[in-house]
Amino acid sequence: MEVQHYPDDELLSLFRNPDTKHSAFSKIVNKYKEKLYWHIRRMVIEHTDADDVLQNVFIKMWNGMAHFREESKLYTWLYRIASNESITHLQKIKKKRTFESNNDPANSLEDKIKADEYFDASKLEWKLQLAIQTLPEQQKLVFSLRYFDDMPYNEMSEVLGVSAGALKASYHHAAKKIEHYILNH
Amino acid sequence: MDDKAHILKILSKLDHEGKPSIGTPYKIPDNYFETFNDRIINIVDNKFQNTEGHILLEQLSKEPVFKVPEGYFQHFEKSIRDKITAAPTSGIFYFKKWYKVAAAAAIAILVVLGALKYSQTKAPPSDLRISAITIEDISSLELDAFAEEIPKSPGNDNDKKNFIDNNQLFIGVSSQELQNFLNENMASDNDFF
Repeated sequence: MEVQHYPDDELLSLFRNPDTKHSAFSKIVNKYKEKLYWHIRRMVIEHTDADDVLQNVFIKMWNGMAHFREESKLYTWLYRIASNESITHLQKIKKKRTFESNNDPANSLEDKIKADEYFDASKLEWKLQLAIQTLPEQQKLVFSLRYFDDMPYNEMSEVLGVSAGALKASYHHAAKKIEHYILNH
Repeated sequence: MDDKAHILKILSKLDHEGKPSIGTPYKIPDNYFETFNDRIINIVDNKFQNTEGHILLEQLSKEPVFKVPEGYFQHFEKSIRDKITAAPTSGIFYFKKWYKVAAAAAIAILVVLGALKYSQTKAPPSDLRISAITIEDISSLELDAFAEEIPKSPGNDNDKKNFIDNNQLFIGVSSQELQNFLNENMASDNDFF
């Protein structure tokens, strides 16, 4: 049975009421946890990393909600935090790896995918995941929001703070690179 | 019988024997037409479409390939709620931070006062400038350290900072490719940046 979720504006007003703040928070978490988890997981690959980042997202939401301005939608704000946290997490890993060795961080994400116990090189869906790792982080974000989350360009523009036209062009080239990878590997 | 009539007769005979007819002297592979549709679909599938629709990508399942530990989503909400209720209240948190800053500020003021007093009595004016610069450096370092410890609140102005750089979006894309995209989409650079 599909769970019925409250509209965002209702959740926000419930959150601002001290009596219903905790229950509103739970409702927001339940409404967005899976969508945000998959968005993050596709960026950071490993479950433990995705779990850490997802927890940070909701903790930041809890701490920042008092200052949240409603010109932004709750949905795009959460995606913005999740995207930002994912990039920050990847950059931390990159710094750590650069410090420890000269391994290419992109290869490390590729290795993580190949190490997944369900990895199947013959399946196109897995090949797609490998292809995504060849993109720079920010192109990866654009591709993921558009392709997997079916997010309209105007909402992506709110999330990433980039014009819809630039996002459209970026997605076009990211998709082209991915198709080229899939057809040639 | 003239030559033409003779040839037609032979061809007509061949045609009855299942050989190529008069208009089609060329042979085609077995089942060429029967399998034509499938082959053309495969070719189209492998071609990149120069529009939003990327045929190859559209064929793939968008279902997650990664697995999540059993019960993860069921227990996530409770675990995050526990973390939030167990976290120190923001009042105590800020008190701790402000305590550090207040201590740093007090030390800085004492050093400034000491330096001023010293300059009024013995030191030449240039020494005062050096001391002030040194103090300024120390206090800015302290403030930087403090700023790093402040939890970022994405709903406020910190969240307005863009973490996406336009140039990063087009790594590996040549200016020619971008120009082609703009031409194909009947758009100008101004629509994009």
